[in-house]
Amino acid sequence: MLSMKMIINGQEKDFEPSLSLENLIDSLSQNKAHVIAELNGNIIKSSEWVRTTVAEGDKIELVTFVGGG
Amino acid sequence: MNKFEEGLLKYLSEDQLKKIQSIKIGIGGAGGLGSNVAFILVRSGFKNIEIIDFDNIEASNLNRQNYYIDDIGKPKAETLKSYLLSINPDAKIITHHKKWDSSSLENIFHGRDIIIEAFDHPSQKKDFVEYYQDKTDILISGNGMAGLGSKQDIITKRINNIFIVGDNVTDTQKGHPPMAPRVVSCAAKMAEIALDLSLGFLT
Repeated sequence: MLSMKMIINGQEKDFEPSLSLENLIDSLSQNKAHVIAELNGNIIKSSEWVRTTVAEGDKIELVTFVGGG
Repeated sequence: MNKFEEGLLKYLSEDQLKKIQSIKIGIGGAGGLGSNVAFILVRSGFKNIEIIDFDNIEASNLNRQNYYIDDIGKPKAETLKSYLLSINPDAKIITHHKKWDSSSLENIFHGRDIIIEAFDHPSQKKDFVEYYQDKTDILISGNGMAGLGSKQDIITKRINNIFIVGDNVTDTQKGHPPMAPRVVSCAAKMAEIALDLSLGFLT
């Protein structure tokens, strides 16, 4: 498979296969220190991103936290 | 039962009030979100609340936070407690005037059912969400409630036991001013989730 499709924040996108969640978040240029990642309905801690492989059809939601409380 | 609680029974059944009063709330941060959430929750009948905040009240807080001009210089958590008790004198309010850091997360909010995350910094918000994502406690986190003329709606995103409320965009650290209408509406939405959960309207 030359590319895989995933749903990122509701939009279908193509990525290279064998991607880690960490690589994926890097490629989306998010401010990683303020991002939480939801993979198929569950939050994956940032310490697990490197070890987590994403796959064709995965649904990923990224939320970037902003200042103010 | 005091007069305030008798007054609440005009709107709630005794069973509903008992349910609300049985819920233990933790509030991290007693600023714009935290102070407003606390007021709304106590007015809704909640009477068991633990509040953590290290800060003292400044003049620039008064545009949106539940404090008054004579409070400038006082600690937020203890001052907030005094106002909450003036609504319901039988409320059990525990306060901690101290700085929170991510390494101490395991030591705060023990035995709380619902945690309100109302801190300023995005890294604290992230730490809270990642810590509570595999716990049974409910976490309600505020994310984006600033800006003038904002076009983004305040929405709620739920991931299992985690609720994230806000526009997810407007950032006080990027010059968006926190003004009362948007801050209070975000706080009210957060409080509504806690109330709905307590009464079984959300499961």
